[in-house]
Order: sequence, then structure tokens, then C-alpha cells
Amino acid sequence: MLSPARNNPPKKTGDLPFPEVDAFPIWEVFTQKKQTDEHVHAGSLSAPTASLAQQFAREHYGQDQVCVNLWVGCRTDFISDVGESGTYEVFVQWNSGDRHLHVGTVQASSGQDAKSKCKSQILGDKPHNSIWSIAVSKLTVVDGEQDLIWRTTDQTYRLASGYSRVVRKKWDAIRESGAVDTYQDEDLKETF
Amino acid sequence: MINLLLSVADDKLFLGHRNSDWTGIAPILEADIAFSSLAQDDIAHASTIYELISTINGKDVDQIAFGRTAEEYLCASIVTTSDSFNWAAAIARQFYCNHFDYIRLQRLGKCSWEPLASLAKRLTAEQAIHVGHVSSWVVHLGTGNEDSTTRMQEALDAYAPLGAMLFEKPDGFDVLVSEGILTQPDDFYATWKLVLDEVASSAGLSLNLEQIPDDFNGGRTGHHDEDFSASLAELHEVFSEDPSASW
Repeated sequence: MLSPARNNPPKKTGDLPFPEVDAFPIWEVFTQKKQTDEHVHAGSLSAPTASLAQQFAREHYGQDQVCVNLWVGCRTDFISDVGESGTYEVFVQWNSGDRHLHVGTVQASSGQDAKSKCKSQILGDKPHNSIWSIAVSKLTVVDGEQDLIWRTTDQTYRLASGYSRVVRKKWDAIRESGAVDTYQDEDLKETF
Repeated sequence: MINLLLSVADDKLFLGHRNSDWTGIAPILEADIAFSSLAQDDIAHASTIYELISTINGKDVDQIAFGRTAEEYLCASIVTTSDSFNWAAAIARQFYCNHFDYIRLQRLGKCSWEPLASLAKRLTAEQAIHVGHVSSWVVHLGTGNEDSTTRMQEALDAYAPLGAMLFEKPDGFDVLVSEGILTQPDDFYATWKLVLDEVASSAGLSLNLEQIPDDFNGGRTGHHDEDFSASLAELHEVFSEDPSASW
């Protein structure tokens, strides 16, 4: 029996007209797995505001894997050559198709300056495919130490390893209970 | 104590179940993923509390979660009230419930029974995520456009009486207070209202909350409505096929 809510699902999801949703800024999310690791590009998402982008990033990229810190910024800020004078985080994509990786921090007068300082101060002659930069002031930081990202309640089932462990446990329980014979009788041996 | 724990866990189980209705159909993909993730949290929280109850009464956790009759569930009505697939309604329900849960867990973190205190402290940290998430939504919808503001305000108004019902005390609650197991300063409702007012007013929204009378009898004392019965039937559907099955 379905609840009344389920008996009357909307025919069309949401009421937002698509142009409005399409106009949401794209946000880039970087995750840090351990304190000693650099931030690595995890992916992008669409959100109307920085506040919601941060919330979505935590629930999406922050729950794919254990991570201790998230950086969220607007895509246009990462690729922009303009911007104010200040501290910039810089990211490098070594080869086409690789994830952008955080390689350091530079003082710069604009996005373009940050990218060229990344080359001169950090990369040197190393060949690379692309550089992103973002002013620290434009970056939303979620610090897992103060503001939980990965949950403390057991949610290892979200991970491939945790999921397969649970599945294995269930199969073990089925085997122990002798139900395996029934499955074999039904010629489903291959399933095991 | 069991009544109190059931009221906390049942709220979470049914709220998580209700919110999972949005999986696949939330307004945008990101909201879909996030809302589903938070719903999983609620169900995980319920599960840890049912496990704690199991250490007291020795019953099987699945039996505690799914093996009770309707009047033995002690959740407040708001967690089972249908949102009719109105996103603003879902957010309003979350807003009242998540802030309530956050403060309730903070208070339980101070109780004198160590197993509950330590569990509640751990869950409080996770609940903070829910509070931040839903508050971002309320502010966004409240400050969006005329349509979103109207819908958010209407939803907050519609759920306000249900929100107040969260404060109904389960049976035996006063005994836990008088025995000093729970510290219960009188400001729970006031604290909750203050926090909600702050978020709502920052988004130009208002709250029309009225405290329930002391002799109110609702979900916390097993008096449920039709939405609850439907939710329970749905939740029991698989379990009742074979109540002794091993999961």
C-alpha cells in the first residue's frame, strides 16, 4: 500500500522553468582526502547560490569518499583572467583529461597574473595542459574538523568496499542457513 | 527512557522515509542527491537509537523499528504529514524538524546516562549539517522571487501548528527530569523559536507559531492521523511479509 503522497506523484518534476535552472552558475568542487593531501578536482555542480553550492558539494562529492576538506568556487572565477589583487590558489591539469590538482598559493594582481605566477614560481618548465586560479576570497571552504563532512555514523555502505562487504555478509548468511541448496536446485548456482 | 528514545528515533525514521519520496524527483539533480543523502542520515540516526533501545529492553532492533503497532510509535505528526510533492512544504517540514532535532540532541548530550549522552553528542555534529542545509534553502526560497517567497511563507504557515506539536512530551518524560537524568530548563521551545525566527526573518519570512497546551495528546502519546497510518503501512509492507526474516 502506497502512502497518499506516492499515489499522486507530479507528472513533471519541479516547477522551475528550465531556462532558470540552466542559468544557475556552475561550481567546481575540490576535495581533500587527508590533511596531508592536496585538494583534487572532484567535479562540478549547478546551484543558484554559493551557500547552496556548498551544501550540495558536501552531500554529493563529500559523500563519495572519506574527505576532510572541500573547496567550492564558481567556474568562471577559476578560468577568469580578471580579478582583484590578493592571494590566489592555483591548480594544474598536467594532461588533457586529468583532474586539476592544487599545486600552491601565489600573490597576484589578477587571475591572469596568478596563472602566470603559477608557471614562473611553481611549474617552471614542466609541460602542462591547463591552469586554474581562484582568489581565496572567492572560495568557499568547508573544514571537516569544524563542520562535519564525512559522517561519524557508519555509512561505509556508500563506498564500493563497504557495499560489497555488506553484500558478502548477506550471501554468507544465506549459505549458512542452507538456502544455497535451494538455489542450486533451481539451477542458479552461477549466481553465487 | 524508552519512550523518550522511541520518540527521537521514530521522528527520524519517518522523516527520513518521507523525505526519501523526493529521491529521483527533487527540483534539481543536486537537491535530489543532497536530500536523499540527508534522508539516509535520518534513517541511520534512527537505527543507532533503536540499537540503544535494544540494549535496554533486549528486543531485536528490527522488531523495535518495524514490529510495533500504530499506537506504539511515538513520532510527532509533522514527520508523516504528506508534503504533496510541494518542495516548499518539504523544506518547511525539514526546517521545523531539523532545528528541533538539533536542539533536542544537544540537550540529550547533557543527560546523565552516558551511553545516550555520547551518542547524542555524536549525532548533534551530524544534525548540524541538516540545520545548515535546510536554513540555506529557507533563505534562498524566501529571498528568491515573488513566487518562491509566497510558496515558502505559505508552507511555513501550513506546517507551523504541526511544528509546535513536536514539543508534546512522551509519557514518563517528567519522571526523567525529576530524577535528574535529563536537565530540562524551560527554554527549549523559546530557543527553537528564536533560532527559527532569526533564519526566517533574515529571508523576510515570518513564523506564526503557537505553543501547544500542556494537555495536548498527539503522536508522542500514540494518537496518530491518517497520513501516519499510510506511512506505517508502507514502512511495514516488506517487514510484514516475514517478520522473522534475517536482514
